[in-house]
Amino acid sequence: MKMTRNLKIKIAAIIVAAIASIVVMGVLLFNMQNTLTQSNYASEMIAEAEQLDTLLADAASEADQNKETFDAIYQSKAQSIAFMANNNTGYEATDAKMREYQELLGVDNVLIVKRDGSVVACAQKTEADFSHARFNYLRESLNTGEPSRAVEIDLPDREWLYRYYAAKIDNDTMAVIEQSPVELDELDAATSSTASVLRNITVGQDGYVFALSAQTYLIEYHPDENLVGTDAIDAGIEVAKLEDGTTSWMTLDGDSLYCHVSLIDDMYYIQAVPASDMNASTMVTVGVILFAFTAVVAAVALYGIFVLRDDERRGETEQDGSKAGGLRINRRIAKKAAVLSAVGFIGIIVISFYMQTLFALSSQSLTMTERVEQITQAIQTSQDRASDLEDQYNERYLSKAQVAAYILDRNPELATREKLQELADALQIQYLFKFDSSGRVTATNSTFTNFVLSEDSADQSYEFRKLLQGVESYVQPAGPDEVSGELRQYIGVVTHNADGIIDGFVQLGIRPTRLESLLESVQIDHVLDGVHVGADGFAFAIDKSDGTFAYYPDANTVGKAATACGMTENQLIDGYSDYITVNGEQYFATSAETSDYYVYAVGSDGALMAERVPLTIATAGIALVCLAVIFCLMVVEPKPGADQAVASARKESDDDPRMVDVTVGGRTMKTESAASRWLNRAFSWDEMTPEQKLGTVLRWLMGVAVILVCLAVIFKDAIFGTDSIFAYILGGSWQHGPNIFAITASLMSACVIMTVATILQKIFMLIAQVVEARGVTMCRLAASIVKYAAMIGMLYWCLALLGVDTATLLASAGLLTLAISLGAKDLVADIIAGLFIIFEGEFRVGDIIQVGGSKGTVMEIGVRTTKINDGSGNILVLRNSGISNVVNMTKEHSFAAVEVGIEYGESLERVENILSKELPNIRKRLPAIIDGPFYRGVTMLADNSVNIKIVAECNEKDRGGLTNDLNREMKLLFDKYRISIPFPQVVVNQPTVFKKATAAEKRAADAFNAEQKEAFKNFVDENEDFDEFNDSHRH
Amino acid sequence: MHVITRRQFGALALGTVACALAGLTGCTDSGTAAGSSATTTSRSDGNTLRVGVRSDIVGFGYLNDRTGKYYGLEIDIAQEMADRMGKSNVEFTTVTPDDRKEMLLDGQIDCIIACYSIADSRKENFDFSPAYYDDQVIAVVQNSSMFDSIDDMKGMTFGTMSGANAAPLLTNKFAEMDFSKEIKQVVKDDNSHVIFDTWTLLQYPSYQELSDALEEGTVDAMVLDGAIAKTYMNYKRSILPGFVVAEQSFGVATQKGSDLSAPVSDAIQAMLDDGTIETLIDKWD
Repeated sequence: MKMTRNLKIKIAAIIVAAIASIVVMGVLLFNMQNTLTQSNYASEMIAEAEQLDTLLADAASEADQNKETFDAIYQSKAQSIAFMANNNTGYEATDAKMREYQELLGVDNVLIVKRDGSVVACAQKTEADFSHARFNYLRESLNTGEPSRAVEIDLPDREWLYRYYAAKIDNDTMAVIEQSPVELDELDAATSSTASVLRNITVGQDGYVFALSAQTYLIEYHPDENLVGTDAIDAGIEVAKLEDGTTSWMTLDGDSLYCHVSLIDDMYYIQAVPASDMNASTMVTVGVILFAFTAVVAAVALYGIFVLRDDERRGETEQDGSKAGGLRINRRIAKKAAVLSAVGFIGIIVISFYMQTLFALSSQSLTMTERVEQITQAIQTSQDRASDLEDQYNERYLSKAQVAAYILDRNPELATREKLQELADALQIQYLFKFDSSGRVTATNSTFTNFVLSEDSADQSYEFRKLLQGVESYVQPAGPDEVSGELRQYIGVVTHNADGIIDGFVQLGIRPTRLESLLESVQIDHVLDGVHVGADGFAFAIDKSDGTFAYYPDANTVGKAATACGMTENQLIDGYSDYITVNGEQYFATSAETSDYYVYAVGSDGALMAERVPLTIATAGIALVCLAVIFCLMVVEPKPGADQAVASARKESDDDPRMVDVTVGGRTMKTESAASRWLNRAFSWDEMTPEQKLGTVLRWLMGVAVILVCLAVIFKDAIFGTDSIFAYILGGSWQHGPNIFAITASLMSACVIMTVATILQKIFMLIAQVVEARGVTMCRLAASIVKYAAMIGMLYWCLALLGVDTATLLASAGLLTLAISLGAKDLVADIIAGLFIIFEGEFRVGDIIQVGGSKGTVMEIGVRTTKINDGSGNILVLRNSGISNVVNMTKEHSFAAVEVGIEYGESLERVENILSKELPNIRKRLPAIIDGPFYRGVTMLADNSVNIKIVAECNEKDRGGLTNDLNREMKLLFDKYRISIPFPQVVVNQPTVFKKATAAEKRAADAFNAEQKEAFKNFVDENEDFDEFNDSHRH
Repeated sequence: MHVITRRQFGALALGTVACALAGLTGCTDSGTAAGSSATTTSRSDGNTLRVGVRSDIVGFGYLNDRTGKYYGLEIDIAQEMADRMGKSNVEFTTVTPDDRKEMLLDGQIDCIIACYSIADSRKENFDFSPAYYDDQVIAVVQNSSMFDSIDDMKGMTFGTMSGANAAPLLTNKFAEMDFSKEIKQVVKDDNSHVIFDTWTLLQYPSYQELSDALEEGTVDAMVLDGAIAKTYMNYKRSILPGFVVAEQSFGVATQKGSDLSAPVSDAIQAMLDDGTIETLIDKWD
């Protein structure tokens, strides 16, 4: 069809406007969303950067504390050597003795060094030259009498890494311990290194912190070990962007990152969020909204185009060049286009708001889930570390106790109050007790002088009795002291007399302050206090055993039952992720489980949530403008010249038999005829009305959307990564219930199921095209089953997602069955009948059947109904249960038969001769005849005629027509040969006077009758053996 | 700014050694200079500027072994300078204090931008641009040796890197402040071990070895440029308070009378004037 130039221009304008709208919308939407996401991340990063200082300072003080503790241990060991040297315990400055001490103290090397740096004795050779000023710290101990500060030498090239500690023996001599600080370094790496701090920081979902030196620009820490040590500038970071406090896009190792830089002590700490992370949600949100917008714009624009073209086709458009009279509004389009635009506009608003909500909530939920996992991880780690450290401490204290026992073995004289105090100072412990073999304290530096080990197994001291029974040492776990209530720990090691016989034990009493503070730090309130979740969130914990708040930022709430504060029982689970209400405040919460607690990370609606309304309004505004432009372009057209304004009368085309006018509610519209619908014939595009075209386009768009969602779901890992929001929504770790995630997941599942079902149906249709009739039936049935199964499955699945209890659902399925069996038994009957029809093969698609009074070709055997085309285009929809007494008229060939009467007077032979001559001619004239016509002889000697029969072989579908044709042919034939066909004639006769029978005649007649009856009786009896019919009837 | 000259050295009682030490850095024989100037001129016609830079000084000239690229203040200055001089390419060559002088004189490089301090002794052989960075020569000590001032350090051992001009500057400084009067013994002829009346000088071929010697305790203080010291500082070390051996300034050195001298000086001056250098120092600080 040729288009006029005006129309072409107009259509082009509409298309351009539509495309421009989509582009404008896309760009604006993307920018808005991006800006929002960025500012959201930026604020999170800034908030975290502010904490980074404290975290690093904490780590630094932790490192100092580690070092102090480490140093104290070895200082004490140096001191104990000094103590031994000064207290007559067999000390001598020999290498052998040093090795003994090395063994006892568990250190790397023990040396005795003079002030000038000369080594008197050593357990093993050392590289250190103590004469250097480098070791002045050690010499300091000779002046002060206190154990020295540590001197560390670190020369990696020479594998020389030792710390040195000294304690004064006399004015010129000191005991020096050489110890490798590897243990300390390991502890630092685990607890206080930059890496240990940064490892625990996440930004958003996949964001992390990396550190690079402001001096060398080498990456000092990165979660990816391979990047540590690489040159940041070389990896793509621009130096100009490395300014404290700035936020910008950077590239690292090919990845685009949104980064916030903080400069702390010559180190850049960069919080980075991968672009993919930011874009994933942005792109999907923008994509979906844009798709909806595109669909609406396309629908409106295409509808306009279709109507315009249709109008032109029907000759309604004005002729070229008629520009007179300004503009007018095309009312035919205006109304429907306005409705389309309005509906589309509302759709865009709804989808926009929905997507904003969805992604705001899901990203918040994801972030918080990760946060709460981090918190539980932190709790777990600190608990693990506490037990590790407890072991370490036990070992160290045991070693001290062993030293004490060693000293007392060598010199039992030292068991005096003063000497024990001195020893306790050297060992850096609080109390020393010397017990004799009966469990009585013989000497102590404490005030408990008359202490005896308890006989009661429930008492703290009872356990130490086993030392008197042969156990070498006993480390009692720290516990509150029976007397003072302070946390205390006791360790005992047996002592021997001069003969090496056990004569009691020495016991250390310690107040393990470090352990105490450590155990404190493991407490839930200590862990959760100061935890920040996002910008304004916090964490709290609920005790598993009694459901009370173990920690809550508001102290008044702690200890109350969770249910009393607004939470519900079903919120007290692991992996909860939805809104909760505590003390009247609503928060979005995610939970995780530790051995004792449910830990919750909660936050109010994030910035994304706050922004969704303005964002939606902005989107709606753009959409409104775009739609208005397109609408105007479409409905406004040049006013046609007055002379031919009404010239073109509407010429309704009647040449389209498949379109039927129907009147609904007083309005006439076109619809596709029933036969056309069920025959699955495709319309050619040009035959469609604009509405149909629009419908087709919308169906396509819908289909594309569904398939896209389906693909996105199937390939979610490849497209979005394993921990994307998509995966989150599909993963179902959110709360099942009527929330946005459940709805989304339902929609996505529905898309997948629909796509799969449709594909299966199409496959069955394709198969149906290549198989015979029974196969077609099977395929159609299979397609039906797929359709219904998909529907039911989808319904069930989605209800389950929406939080309907599946067990209830199953039970209700039982109820449903009951309902069906009672109320809808006809339906069941139909379905069962349908199955029987199909499996018994009573008839198939394409068969000609007669059911009751109706006859026709079977179009479709459905699960519930069967559709029959009666040949005149009417579709008969029969319920399967109503199909009984079927005459299947599908045979190889049918016969069309006509019976013609001939007058008795006519010569039969003449007629037969004529027929033999003319029948071949009839066959030539009637192409429907497959074989014949045949003369079948005289069928009846009827009242008024001799009836002869002519039959012709034909297809069943032609039978009706052929019969008529044959009748016609016979009439014409008989006319031609002047064979008269008798017909009822009324003959009027004169009345006749009949003679009466005589009496003799009457008697003779009676006799004849009786004689004939007797004769016939005999005749029948003679034949009775041969006549089964009669036989059977006689019995 | 206080600049130590050879002549001042000569006036000191320590003249001989000082000159010998200074000779390692500042003095050259004029023969080589004359011989190579022609080649340099001919080579520098091209569009490439060949710059000698340090490869081991973080923040000034640092070579990343993995990538073969140089980073630092001096690298940026060289790039910017070349831009302003209209050179499209900059070719960096690693120089050490030992070989930088010869490389420039031989014409292997067009200029030195390698923490090369402006000294009168050097001005005899090279042209210097205006100073782009001011620095101090300082002494670094281990905390564990408990030195609080230079007065604690009588009889101690000082380490320097041979090739740097720290040793003559230190000798000069000690003479000036009456810390030391005379040389007792030159243990090694290359001046790597010299015993003075109140101190001992040990010289090491590289800063790393010097730093290791300090770690071990073989030297009690290392004397070096403040800029370089940053690389070797850690929590166990500190700068000896109240003791500055010398103030010095880094400049770009070109061959005496070279065609490049004027453009280099102009470019550096322009960069100083418009704040470029200040920005770059900020960037790398």
